[in-house]
Amino acid sequence: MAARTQLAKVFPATILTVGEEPENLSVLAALLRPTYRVLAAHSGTRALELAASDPKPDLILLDVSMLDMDGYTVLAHLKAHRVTRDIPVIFVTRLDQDDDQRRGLDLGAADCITTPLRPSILLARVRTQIELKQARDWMRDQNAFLAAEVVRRVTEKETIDVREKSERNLAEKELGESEMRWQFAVESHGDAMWDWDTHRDELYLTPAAKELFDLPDTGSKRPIADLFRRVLEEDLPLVLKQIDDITFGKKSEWRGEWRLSQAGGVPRWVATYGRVMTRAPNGEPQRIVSISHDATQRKRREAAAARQRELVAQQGRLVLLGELASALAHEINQPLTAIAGFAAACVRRIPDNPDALELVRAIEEQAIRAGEIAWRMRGFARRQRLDRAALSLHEVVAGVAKWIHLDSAYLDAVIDITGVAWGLPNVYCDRVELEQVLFNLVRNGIEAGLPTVKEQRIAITGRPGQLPGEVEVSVTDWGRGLPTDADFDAFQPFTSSKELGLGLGLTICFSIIEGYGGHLWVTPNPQGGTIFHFTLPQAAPTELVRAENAPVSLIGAQ
Amino acid sequence: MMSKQAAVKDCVGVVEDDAAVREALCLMLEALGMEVHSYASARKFLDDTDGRSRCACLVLDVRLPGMSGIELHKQLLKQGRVPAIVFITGHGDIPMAVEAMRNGAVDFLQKPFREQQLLESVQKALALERQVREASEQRATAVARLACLTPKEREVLEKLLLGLRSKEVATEMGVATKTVEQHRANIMHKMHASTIVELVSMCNSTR
Repeated sequence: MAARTQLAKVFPATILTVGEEPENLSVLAALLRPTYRVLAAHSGTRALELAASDPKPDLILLDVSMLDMDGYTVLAHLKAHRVTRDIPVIFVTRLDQDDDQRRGLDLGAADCITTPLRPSILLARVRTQIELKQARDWMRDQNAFLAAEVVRRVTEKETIDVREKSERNLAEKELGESEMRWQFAVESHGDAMWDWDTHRDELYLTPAAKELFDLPDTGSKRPIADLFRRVLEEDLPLVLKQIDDITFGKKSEWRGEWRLSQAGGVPRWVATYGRVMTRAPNGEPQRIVSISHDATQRKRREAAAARQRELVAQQGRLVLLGELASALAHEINQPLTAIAGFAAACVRRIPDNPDALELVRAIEEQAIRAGEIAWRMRGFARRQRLDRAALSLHEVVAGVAKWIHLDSAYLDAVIDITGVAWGLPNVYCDRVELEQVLFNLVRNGIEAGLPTVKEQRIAITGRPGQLPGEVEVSVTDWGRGLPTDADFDAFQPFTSSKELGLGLGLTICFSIIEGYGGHLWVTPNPQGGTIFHFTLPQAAPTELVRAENAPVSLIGAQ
Repeated sequence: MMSKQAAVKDCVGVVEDDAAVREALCLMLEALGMEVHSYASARKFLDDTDGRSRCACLVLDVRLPGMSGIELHKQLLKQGRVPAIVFITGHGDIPMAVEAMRNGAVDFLQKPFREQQLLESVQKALALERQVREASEQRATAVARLACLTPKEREVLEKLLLGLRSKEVATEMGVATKTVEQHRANIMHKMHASTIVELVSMCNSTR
């Protein structure tokens, strides 16, 4: 490939040969020197020094037998250090030493070559390794490399601009070479990347970008409008604005998420990062490069998580309303009972005054009516559909830990769920209600955090309960703890240790858990803070987790 | 509206933590002619051994500080003698009501309730309690009377209960029919029974 040869000329690869036998080394050097830069080390120690210093070798040819340390030790050292880890190593060993070869490969050698050496095979294998290495390096340093390429190219262009017309032919030839080199760089890149020459309106796309943007391979250059046409109409203004922002110099880069229209399908999300690589003297961008990747999966997971969270929030509001009505009904029913009772008792004391009697009877009736209204309200708010199922505690907990972070107020919280093993028995309850309880407890824990601590830590643990058929869950915080005075009952409605707390969160949790025949209680954390515990019934062993009910796995999203 | 049957006032216990509700309940029940003992908590009720043993009926709030009404009911069941219980609640949890009824509660009233509802429930409870008490009194009397019989009279009684005639009893026991007749008359007298049917039902109540 022409471009590749060009590259090789510009940057000859460096090869380090390591071995004790001078004749072997000299043969190697003689074979390699016409193509590569060759460094030679006669001991393991020297080899490690050279491998770690600049210019770092692109390949090491390592002879197994050495005096100060054997080849395996050298190899182990090379692989153990960050600086030298990525340098490929070819083992050189005697033909009859099968064990050596196997052991070398096990330790991470890229290849094995046997002595006596056969020049053609040696050169072919060395070339393969060098090319692989360069490709890898190039991928890794993509941004630096691209920037360097761009700068060089622009410099070349400018050089061309100042050249005399008589030199144009030569210049065009050079430009052609540079063009070819650039095109190669872009096309062989694994990521979805595009590069837009704004002056000529020429857009280069890597194969991955062509695939991502669904722009078939009709040619290497195309106008930017082709790309814009692929963007979903609603998102186009955003895209254009981002391009505008960098064109008029407000910014030099953008990060954004756009949707691409899909023929007959759901739009695809792409996350893009782009920047101006060079600007003309008047400030206009000459070259804009962008890297994109498909964000559809992530978006879908985020949307699923957000939907589930919204469901919990909605259910939460309903439950809150129910609990509010219930607490209110109870509190109001007490005085109403007293009113009705006093009125009834009064009736017996005024038997001779029919008018007064009638009024007192009316008082009793109205008290009863007020009570009925309270009950009805409560009944209405309480009406909610429960969907009991066998649930994996691990899955539900992982989901909740995820959404906690969707709320920006809780971004800094660290939710440790390692204490909820996969192997725990499934619990049998309504998913949303369980989420509700966990969500409330975790949120309380975070809000109970000491102001001096930036990252509030919450740990969720699960274990089989003390009674058979139960699972116990604990939510631990290291916050300021609950008030210690005897009158404070965290589970009573309208009791809160928070300044603006409504005091219903724990009451709701309590009702939900009690509703499943479980218990919810609180103990102080010996290390400071609070631990809330609750128990839930286990699902019968035959109850399998209903996969269709499980939301998209939230673990490892993003 | 005085209780007709009893010269002695019916005694009702009230366990309710809300002072106003407690007072209103007392006023209503007293106006109905009952003797009322009221308590602000389950603990206070349990501690008043004297007063609580006299309560034939208990009006019990479900939610109480400390031991709940439901728990108090269970504890009383464990101890044996339980007054007839009318639960009152401002929450009215259905599963709780079902459990309470299963454990033998007489009624489950939602607050607020009419005086009439309370009266009906309490009277139902008292009637039930009275039945239970009467049955147990009858049994105690029968047991005491049986204890007065001589061994011979007991033997005759057992055979009579099997449905044998005097003659048959005499044959089985190897005595004169007249002797059996005499024993039988003594038994009827000692047991305060006027007919054999009465005698049988009295003996059955002791089983």
